[in-house]
Amino acid sequence: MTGATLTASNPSRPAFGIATLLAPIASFYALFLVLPYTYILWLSVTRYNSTLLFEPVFTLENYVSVLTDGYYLALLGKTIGLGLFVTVATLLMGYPLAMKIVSSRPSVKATLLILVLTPLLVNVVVRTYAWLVLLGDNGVINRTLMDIGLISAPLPINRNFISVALGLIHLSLPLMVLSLVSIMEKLDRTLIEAGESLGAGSLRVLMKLHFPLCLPGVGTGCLLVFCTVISAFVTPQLLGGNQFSTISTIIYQKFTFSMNWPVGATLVFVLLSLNFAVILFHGYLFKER
Amino acid sequence: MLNTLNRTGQFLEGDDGVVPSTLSISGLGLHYGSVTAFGGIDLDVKPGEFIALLGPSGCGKTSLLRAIAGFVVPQEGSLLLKGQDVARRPPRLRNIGVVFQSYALFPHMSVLQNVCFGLECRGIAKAKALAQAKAALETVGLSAFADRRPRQLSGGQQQRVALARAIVIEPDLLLLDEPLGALDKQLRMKMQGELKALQRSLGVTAIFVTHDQEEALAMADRIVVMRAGAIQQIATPETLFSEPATGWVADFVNAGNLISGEVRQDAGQWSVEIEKGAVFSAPANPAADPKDAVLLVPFHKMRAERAPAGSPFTVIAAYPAGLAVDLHVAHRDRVLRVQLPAARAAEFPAGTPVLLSAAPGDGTWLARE
Repeated sequence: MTGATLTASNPSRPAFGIATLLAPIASFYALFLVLPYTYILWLSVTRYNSTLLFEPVFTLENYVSVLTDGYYLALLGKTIGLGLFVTVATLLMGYPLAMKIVSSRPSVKATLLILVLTPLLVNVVVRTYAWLVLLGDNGVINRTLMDIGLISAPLPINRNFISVALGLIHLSLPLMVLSLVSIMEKLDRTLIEAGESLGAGSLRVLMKLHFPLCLPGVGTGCLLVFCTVISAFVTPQLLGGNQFSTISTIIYQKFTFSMNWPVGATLVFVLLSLNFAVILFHGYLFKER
Repeated sequence: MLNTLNRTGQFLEGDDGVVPSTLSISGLGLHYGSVTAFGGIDLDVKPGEFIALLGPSGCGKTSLLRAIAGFVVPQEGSLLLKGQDVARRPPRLRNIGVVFQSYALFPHMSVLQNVCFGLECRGIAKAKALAQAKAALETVGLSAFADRRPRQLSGGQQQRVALARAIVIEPDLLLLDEPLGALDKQLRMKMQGELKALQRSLGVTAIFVTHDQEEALAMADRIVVMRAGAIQQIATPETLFSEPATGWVADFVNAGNLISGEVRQDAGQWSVEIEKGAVFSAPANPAADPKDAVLLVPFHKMRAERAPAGSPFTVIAAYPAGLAVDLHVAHRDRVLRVQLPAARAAEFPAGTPVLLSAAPGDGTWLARE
């Protein structure tokens, strides 16, 4: 009897229930995501005006200027370059770490995972200022090197590509490691054993079996890290200062100091498009898996 | 005494012990902390032999296979492959082909690339490697599937690819972990024959793990029966049936009914009375302690006759088996099997009370464990 009641009510109940339950999140996204983005999109096709902020006329001149002006193109290139550099660096450092974590005993594994996660648990401002303390002209590194006489002037490791890249590697390494750990946990150990029994040395096992079999995780990790890096704001702002800008920090400038909202909005959409392009590319690469 | 008689392995006929062993294991033991996977393993495998490691799950047979392959390093004993101790050598330096239960085909490579892998590892030139790999695929009848991915193949085909990948490297020893375990029954029967024929024609020495005694009997030259990490008996399939080392082995390979009860000796005639009115005649019992002995009576040697109601034995089912009929006879909470000529089937419909017995020469005394 109970069975009959269940089958009778099942088809209709979930549809009603899910729609109701989804309503709050749908409204949330509509209000705080779709609406603001629509406004920004509209801003990006208006004309800059120094007294009115923007003139509400339709124009594509902001896009033309951002996509042809050497300054913006260099900015775009620098941001993408930073993204690629940090992605490759986290992959090279994170891969062995993930292998170590996966092969560890459960207690060690838990400890290592928590250690890997610490950058995400520390407040972004605290984390970033810690880097300033280390990398500044009078920071720990330069002070020490100068005190022991290895260098006479501070090394250029602050407010440039190096400092920004270091801060972003620190921030995004957990994303890479967690992506890799999750795929490596699922890796069939017997495939590695099969390779070893067929005579493969550890390098061949790594390059021909382990890495190719973990590619989906590598893809996810790279996607997360690249998108995080090109969109990161606080880290490049604090560690790059005025000397090293990314699209994000310039967007901030356009909306604040220079009050050029239309160009700022255009940069928002260029950055957003870049993110979507990377996500689509990732989807294309891994669609078969 | 019974045990030592039967537990010594018997080599192929005509073997005078001069042929050097392909694999020689002595005193091999593997422990995980206080848990013993296997211990005190002694085993000699002659060139070209097909050996089955048979036992229930958890008996250590797979661990032993993995130790031979080199995936686990045993703490005790030696493992000589073609005269060289390889017990602590990594798998890649052993030249052993392994067919995994899950086949472990590389999903990101084509069938041909899978088979080529071992040859590439050996630094064989690409053209030559391809030719050898194609020949190996030919051997297992999969030439037409060279460019497929493993997941596009059926289970039986994947099994053949795994086999081709393992034999193409011309291994000194071929190891197979439950090679037919993942196949359905029909295919399993077919592959048993094919696998044995292939092993014969290649002349490769092979060891396979199975929990299925029929599979072991059908394919192996010799069977290593394992229980709780130790070898119970090493014997040819025929010997395993005719002279099982212990009651446990007899039961595991289904060699016959194990009769236990009060052992008696009246005027030189030994017998086992399993309960009042149910007496099985037996040959002389050489065991020191008759309490530790069980009588093994092969199913076809069992005698049955109709009995008046109240007999402790009742036929619960009669299965036709070609020229014979298989009676399942309930006695308390266990079932005894009796194989009779098919012509007598009519005498014993289900529910018939029967009396079972055995002639003195039909049973064999075995140590219980």
